[in-house]
Amino acid sequence: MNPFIIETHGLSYSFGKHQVLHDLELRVPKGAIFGFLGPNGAGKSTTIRILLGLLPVPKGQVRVHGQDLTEHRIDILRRTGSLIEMPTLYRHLSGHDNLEMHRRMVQAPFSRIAEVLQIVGLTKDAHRKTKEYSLGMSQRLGIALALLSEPELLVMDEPTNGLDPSGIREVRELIVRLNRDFGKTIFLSSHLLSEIEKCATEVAIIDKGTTLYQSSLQQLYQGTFQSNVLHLETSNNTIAHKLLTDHAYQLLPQQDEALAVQVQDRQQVAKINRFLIVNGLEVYRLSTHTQNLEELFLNITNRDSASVTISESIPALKP
Amino acid sequence: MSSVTYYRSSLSAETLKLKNTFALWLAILAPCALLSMNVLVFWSKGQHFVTDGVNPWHRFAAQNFGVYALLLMPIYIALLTSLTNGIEHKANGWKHLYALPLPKSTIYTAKATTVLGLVLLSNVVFVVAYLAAGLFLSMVRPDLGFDAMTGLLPVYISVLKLFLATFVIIALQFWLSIRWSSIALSMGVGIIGIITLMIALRWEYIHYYPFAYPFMAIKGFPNETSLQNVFGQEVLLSLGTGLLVFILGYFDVSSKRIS
Repeated sequence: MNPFIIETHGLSYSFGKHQVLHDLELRVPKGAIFGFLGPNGAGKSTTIRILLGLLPVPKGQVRVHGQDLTEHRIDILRRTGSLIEMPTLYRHLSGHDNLEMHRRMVQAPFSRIAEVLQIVGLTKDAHRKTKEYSLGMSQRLGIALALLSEPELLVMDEPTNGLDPSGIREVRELIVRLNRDFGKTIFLSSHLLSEIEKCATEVAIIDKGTTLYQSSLQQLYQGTFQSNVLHLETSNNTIAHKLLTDHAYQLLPQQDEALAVQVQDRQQVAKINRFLIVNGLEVYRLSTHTQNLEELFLNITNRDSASVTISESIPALKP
Repeated sequence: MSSVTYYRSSLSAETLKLKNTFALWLAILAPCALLSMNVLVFWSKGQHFVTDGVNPWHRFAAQNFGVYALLLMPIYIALLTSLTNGIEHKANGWKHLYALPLPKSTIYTAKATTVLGLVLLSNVVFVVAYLAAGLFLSMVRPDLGFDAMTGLLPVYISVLKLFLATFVIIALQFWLSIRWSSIALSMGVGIIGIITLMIALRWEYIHYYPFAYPFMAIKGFPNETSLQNVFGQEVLLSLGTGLLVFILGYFDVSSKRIS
C-alpha cells in the first residue's frame, strides 16, 4: 500500500511570468503531522491551493490519497478537510447553522454536528452567532467544519495566524489530539517555526518554490545541520576572544557579554575551559546551546547568501 | 452521487445561508413598500384614477406595474444579486465552496437558482400584496368598485411575463456580482440600465434592449390580446439571452483562479 497520502512530482506553477513553484517535491506520509515551512512568499499557499484543486496543475503530477488530482478532484476532496487561513464563517448565522449548512453540502449525518462540536469544545457556544466568537473560537469552528465529512487528511494553511498565545495553544493542542486520538494526517503550513517545532512529526522546508529539505523532525535535529554552540563568560572577554581565535576556534557573533564558540563535542568544552584557566582567566559561565529550528531554518533558507559568512567575519573585524 | 443529489444538497445549504439576511427581507419588503404607497394614493385620490368604465383592479395594477417594471426591478435585482453573492464575498467563502467535494457547476447553479428563487418570491409577494391591497381599498373606498373581483387573470399573466422578462437582467447581474464583490458596480449597471431605457424609450429598436424587456412585457396591459401570448418576443429574447449569459458566466467564473 502507498505509504504517502500526498505526493507531488515536479510540480511547477506560475502566475503570469512570475514562477512561484519550481519542480516542487513533497511526500507526506500517512498518519503524520506534516509541517510545511517556508518564509512568506515561498509558495506555501499556492501549493495548498493546488492540493485543494483551487488552482489547476499546469505542470508535474499531484497525487492525493493515491489518486491523480486532475482526474479525481471530487473523490479526493471528499476525503480531505481544509482550513485556509481564516475559516469561512457566515457571521449572520450561529455556529450550529454554519455547521448545518456545511453538513448539507458534504452530506454528513446530522449526528456528526454534535460530535465535531464536542471535539473542538464548542458545544456550549453552538447557538451563539459566529460574529460574537473570538478568533480562537472561530478557528476551532473552522476546524470543526473541516472535520464534518470525517476526512482522513486535514490541510491547514497558517491556522494559528493572528491568534493570541492562548488561542495558538488551543489550536495546537487540538491538532495534536486530532492526530493522536483520531488518526488524522495533518498537513500544516506555517512560517512560525516554533509552532511546527512543537507538534510536527515530519517537516519540509521550502523557499522560492523548491523543496530545500524534507525529513522527520528528529532527523532534522540530529542531521548534518546540527551544531553546538558554547557560550562563555570570563573575567576578560577580549583576551579570551584573542586566545581562542589564535588557537583556531570558530567564534560566532557575540551576544551581550558572552562569547559564542562553535564546538564539536563535550571534550572540547572541557578543553576550552582548561585552556582559559591556564592562561590566567576566570571562567564565570560555560553553557552549551543547541541550535534550534529557528536558526536552522534561517540557515537553510539563506544558505547561499549571508548567514555563514557573516558569522565568521564580524568577530574578526573587532580588535 | 448523482448530480441531482449534489444540486439538492447544495441548494438546501444556500437557502439556509439566507436566514437572517437583508436579501431575504428585501425580497419580501420591496413589493410591499411599493404597493402600500399606491394604496395611499388610491385611498386619498382614487376618484381621479378610476373613471367610468375602467376596471379598478386593472387601473390599480397598471399604476403599480409602471414603477415596478421600469424602476424597481432593475435596481432591486442588482441589490438582490449583489447581496446574495456578497454573503460569499464577505465571508471569503469562494475558496471554501470550491474546495468542497461538489462539482463547480453545481455550486454555480445552486447559487443562480437561489437568486432566481428570490426574485420569484418577490413576484409572488407582489401578487399577494396586490390582492390584499385591493381588498383593503374595497373596504376603505367602497365607491371605487374594488368589491367586484373580475379580470384578474391578465394581472397574473402579466406578473408571470414580467418575471420571465427579467431573466436576462438577473443573469447579467448574477454574473457581475459573482465576479466582482462591489455592490456599487451592480447598482451602477442597474441605474445606467434605467437611465438609458428612459432616454431611448421611443427608439424603434428599444424592444431589443434587455432592460426594456420587463417594460415591453407589461406594455399592452390590460389589453387582453397581447397578454394571451405568454411567450412573446421579449420573453423569448430574455430567456434565450439570459440562458446564454448564465452559461458564459459559468465558464468565466469557473476558469477564474481562486486566491
